[in-house]
Amino acid sequence: MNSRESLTKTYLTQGSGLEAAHAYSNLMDRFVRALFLEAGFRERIKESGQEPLAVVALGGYGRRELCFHSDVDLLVIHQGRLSAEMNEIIPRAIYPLWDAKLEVGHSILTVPESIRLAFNDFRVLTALIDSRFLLGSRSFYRLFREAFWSRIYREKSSLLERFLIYQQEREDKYHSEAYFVEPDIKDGLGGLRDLHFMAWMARVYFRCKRFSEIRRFAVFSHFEFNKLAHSRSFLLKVRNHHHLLANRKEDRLLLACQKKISQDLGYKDGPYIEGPEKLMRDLYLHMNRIRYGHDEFKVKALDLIHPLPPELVQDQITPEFQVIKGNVVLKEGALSEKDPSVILRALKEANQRGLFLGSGFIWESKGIIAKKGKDLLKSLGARELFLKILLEPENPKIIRLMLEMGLLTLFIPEFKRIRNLAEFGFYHVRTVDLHSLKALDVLYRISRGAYDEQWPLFKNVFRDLEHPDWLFLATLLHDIGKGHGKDHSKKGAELIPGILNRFGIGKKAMEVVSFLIAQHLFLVNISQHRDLGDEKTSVQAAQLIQDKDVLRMSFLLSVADSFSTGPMVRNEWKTILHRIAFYQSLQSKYSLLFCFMQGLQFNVLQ
Amino acid sequence: MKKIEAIIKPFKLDDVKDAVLKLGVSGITITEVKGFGRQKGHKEIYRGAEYVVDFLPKIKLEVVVATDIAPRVVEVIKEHAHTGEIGDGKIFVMSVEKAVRIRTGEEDRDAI
Repeated sequence: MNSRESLTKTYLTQGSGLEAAHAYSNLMDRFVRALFLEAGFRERIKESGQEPLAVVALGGYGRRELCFHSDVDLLVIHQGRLSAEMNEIIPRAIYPLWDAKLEVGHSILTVPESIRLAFNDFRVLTALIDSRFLLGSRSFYRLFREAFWSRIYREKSSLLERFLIYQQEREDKYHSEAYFVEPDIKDGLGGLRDLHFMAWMARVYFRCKRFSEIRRFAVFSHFEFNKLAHSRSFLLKVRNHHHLLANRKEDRLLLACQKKISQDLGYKDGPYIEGPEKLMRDLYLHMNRIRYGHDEFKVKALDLIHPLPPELVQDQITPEFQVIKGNVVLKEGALSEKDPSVILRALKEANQRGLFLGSGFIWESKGIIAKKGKDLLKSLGARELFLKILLEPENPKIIRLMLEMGLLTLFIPEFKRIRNLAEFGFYHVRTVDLHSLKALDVLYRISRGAYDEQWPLFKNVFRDLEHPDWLFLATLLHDIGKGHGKDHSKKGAELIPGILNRFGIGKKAMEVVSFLIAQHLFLVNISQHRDLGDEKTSVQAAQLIQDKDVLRMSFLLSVADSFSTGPMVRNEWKTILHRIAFYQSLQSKYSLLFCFMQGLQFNVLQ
Repeated sequence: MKKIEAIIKPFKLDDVKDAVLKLGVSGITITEVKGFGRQKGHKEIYRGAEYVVDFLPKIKLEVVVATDIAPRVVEVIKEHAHTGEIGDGKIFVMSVEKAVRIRTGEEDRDAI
C-alpha cells in the first residue's frame, strides 16, 4: 500500500479531516476491489453467472470515515451454501489486508444470519446500519438491505430502549474526570459516536438516509448542521494525526501526544497559552458543541417518537411559561417576538424549580443571545435577574446551561478568556470555565450538607457566613485571571472591580471578593509549605486575613477550588492539612492580640 | 544497600528532598500517609462541635542507597526535618538484598 504512505503525506500538509477520511476510504475501496479481482472474483462470476453475493463495508468504513488505524470491517453476504470456489477466493482476497498490517474484521454470512446477529448484538446492528456496497451483486445487496430495514422498521419501538441503554453506558463510562484530560475522540462524550448516534436515530426513526434530511422536521429546522459537520471534520483530523502518531488504533488523546499533535497542526506557544492548550481548547469547543447538539437532538427526537401531553403544574408557574416533561417552555408565541429578557425569566423559573429549559427554547435563545445580546443587556432588570440566578443556584445544571447559551460571557465578557481554556497536564482535569462552575457546584453542595459525613465542618462554616453571595461570586470568578500569564490570582483580583461595577455591587463586597481572589491559594500554600505547628504561621495568616468572616470564605473557596480541580488535588490527606491551617488561623486571632501586647514582631506576608 | 524510610512533616518535604538529592542520591519515592506517634492526633473545636483528627497527615519518604552513604543520608534527613517540636517524625534504616532496574536489567549498585 504505497499510496497509503503518499496519502499520509498529502493529508498531513493539506485537506480537512473529512477529506482525509474520505480519501483514505476511497483508497481502501480500490484496494479491496483490486484484491478481490486479483483473487479471481471476476472470473468466478463470469463462469457461474451472477452469484447472489456481495462484499460490504461496515461501520466506520461503511460511513467512509476511515482513519489510518481504524478497523476495516468487511462482510460477505451470500445466499445458501457458499460455493467451493468462493470459499477459496475470499481468504485469498482478505489475507493481503492482514499482510498490509490493517486491523481487519471480516465475516461471511447469509442474509438471515446477518440479521439475526444484528438483532442480538447492538454493535453489529449499528455496523449494518452504516453498511455500504463494495462489489459483487448490487441487486442482491439491495435485497439484503430491504430485508434488514423492514425488520428494523418493524421492531423500531423495541429497539429504542437499546439505543438509549447504549448511550447511557457510554455516559457512565466516559463521564469520569480521567476523560477530561485525555478525551476519547471517538467514544467519549461529544466524540464522533454522538454524531453516529444522531445519524442512526435519524435513519431508524425518521427515515433520513442522510442526517441533514432531519431538517424536514420543523423542530430540527434550526439545527446547526454546518457547525456540527465542521466539528466532525476537526475531530477526524485530530484522530488521524493521533493514529499516525501512536501508530495504532488509539482514540484516546493521550497527554504525551497532545503536544506533538498541537505542533503538527500548527498550534504555536503563545505568550500566555501554550500550543497544546490551544489545541485542547479547540477540541473541547468542538466536543462540547457535538455533545450539546446531541442532547438537544435526543430530547427532540424522543419527543417526536413519543409525544406526551403537557404536565398540569400551571398554577405554580408564571403565566408566560408552561412545564412539559420537566422543561420550562414558552406557553405561546415565538421567542424571537418577545423581549429577550424572557430568557432570563425562564432560567429563573427553571432554577427555582429544579427544572431545565425545553430544547427548542434553548436553541432559539442561543440565536437571540448571539444576535441581540446588547438588547438583552440593556433590558430592564436583566442584570439583577442574571445575578439572582447566579447567587441562588438551586439547580447547578442551569448555570452550566447559561454558559452553553452564551449568557455568562454576555454578562461577564471577561469569562471569554477562560472559556474552554485547558491547562496542560494531569493536575487540572477540567477546562478553566468548567472548573469554575464545578467549584460553584461544590460550594452549593457544601451549603446543602452533601459533605457532612466526612467533613461536617464545611457546612457549619458555611452556615456562619454573613455574605454567602460574596463567596459565590468569588468562587465563580476565582480563576478569571487565567490566560493572562503569570499570577492569575493577582490579575483576577484586578479584574473584579470592572466586573462587579457593571452589576452595581457595593464597594465593601467588591473589596472582599477581590481579596478572596487575590489570596485564593494562600491557605492551600501554607497548609502544605509552612509549619502548621508553629505559631508564627497562624499568626501570619491571621494578620493577612483579619476578618473572621473573610477567613471562613477563604477557607470554603479553597475547599471548593481543590475539590473541583481533580483527583490529584482533592484527597483526604490534603484536606485535613487544609482544615488544620484554617483552624489554626481562626484560633490565632487571640494569639495575634497577645503577640501585639507583648510587642513581638512578625514578618507580614506579602 | 540500605533502604531509608523517613516519616516527616509535610512542609519539610522540599527541604529534605533538596538536601538528600545534594548527596548524589538519584531517586526518591514519597507517599502521603497518615498516622500518629506520641503526638497522638489533635482536636479542633468549631462552634462547640468537636472535630477529632486521629491520624495526622505526614509524608513517608523512601530511598535506597549504597551502604557507605546511608549514615550521611540519615544525618541529612534528621537535620532538615527537624523543628524540635512534637511530631517531627522518625527514620528507619533497613538492609536491602537486591535491586533491579526493570528497563535494563541492571542490578544492585548499578540499579539504584
